[in-house]
Amino acid sequence: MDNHTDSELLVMFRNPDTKHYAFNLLVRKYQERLYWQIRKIVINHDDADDVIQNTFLKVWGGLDNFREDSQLFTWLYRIATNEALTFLKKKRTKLLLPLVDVEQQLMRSFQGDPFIDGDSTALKLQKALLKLPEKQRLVFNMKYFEEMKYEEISEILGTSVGALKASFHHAVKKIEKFLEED
Amino acid sequence: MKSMKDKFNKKLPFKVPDGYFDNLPLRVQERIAANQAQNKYKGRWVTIRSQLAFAAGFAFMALLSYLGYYMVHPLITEKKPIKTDYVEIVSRTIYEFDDIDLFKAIEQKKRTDSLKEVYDEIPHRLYVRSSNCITIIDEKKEIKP
Repeated sequence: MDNHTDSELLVMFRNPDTKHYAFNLLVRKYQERLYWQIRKIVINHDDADDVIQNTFLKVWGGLDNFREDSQLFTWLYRIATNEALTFLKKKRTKLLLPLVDVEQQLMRSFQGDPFIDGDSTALKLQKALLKLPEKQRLVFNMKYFEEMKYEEISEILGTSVGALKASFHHAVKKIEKFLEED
Repeated sequence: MKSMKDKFNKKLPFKVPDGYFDNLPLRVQERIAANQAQNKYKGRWVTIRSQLAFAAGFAFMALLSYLGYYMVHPLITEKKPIKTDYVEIVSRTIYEFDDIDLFKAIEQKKRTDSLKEVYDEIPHRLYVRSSNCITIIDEKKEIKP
C-alpha cells in the first residue's frame, strides 16, 4: 500500500475516480511523520490531533494546485508546521497570554497529558526545548530528531541555510546549559 | 552534540492512544466530507448574500438618482426665464419666441416705461410749477404796492 511514489499518488489524486483513494493512501503514508512533527510543537496529544486533521484538510484543498516544484513531503511538512504554529498563536491570542506564558502552559501539559511518559530522560530534553525561542525549537526538532538536511529545513521554514546553522548551534548550546543546570 | 545523542538516544516522551494511526485516515475523510457539506451550504449562502448585496446596491443607486434629480430639477426651473422678461427671452430663445408675443412684450414695456417716465416727471413738474407760482405771487406782491 505504501509502495506508491508521490508522483503516482498525485496522478491518482487528479483523477476524480481515484481521488479519495489516493488521498487515503497519502494520509496513511505521511500521517505518522507529520503527527510527530506537530506533536513536538504543540506537545499535547489532543491539540496535535486537531492540528493534523486541519493539516490534511488544507492538503485536500490545495493538492490540486501543488506544482511539484518542491518535494511533496516538504510541502506537507510546511503546511503541518504552519498549522501547528498558527495553533499556538491562536491559543496565545485566545488566552491573552504573552509568549513566555504559553511555553509555561505547554510545560504544564507534560504533567496532565496521559500520553506522555513522565519518567523518561527524554522528557528532560523536551522541557529544555520549551525554554528555547520558537524558531530554535523548530530547527532543533527537525535537525536532531528528524535528521533533515539544512536545505530541506530551509525550504520548509523559508530561512537561509546559514541562519539555520546558527540557530541550531545556539539551540544546542542553550540546551546543554539547561541540562547542566538541571 | 555527540554526548547529547548518547544521553537521549533521540527518544520522544510522547505516546498516542492505541490504534490512533489506524483510525486517523477515516476520521480525516469524515472531516473532509463534513467540511465539503458545510462549504456547499456556505457557498449557497454566499451566492444569495452577494445577490442581495447587488440588489440593495442597485436600489440605493436608484434612490440616489431619484433624489438627486428632484433636488437639482427645481433649481433648473427656477433659473428658467419668465415669459415677461422679454429681453432675456429674446436673447436666449429668439427662434422659439413668437413674433406677436415679442411685439406685445415690447409694447407693454414701452407703456410701462413711458408711465415710469411720467411718474418720474410729475414731482419735477410739480416743483417747477410750484416755483413758478411762487415767482408769480412774488411778482404780484412786488407790483401791488
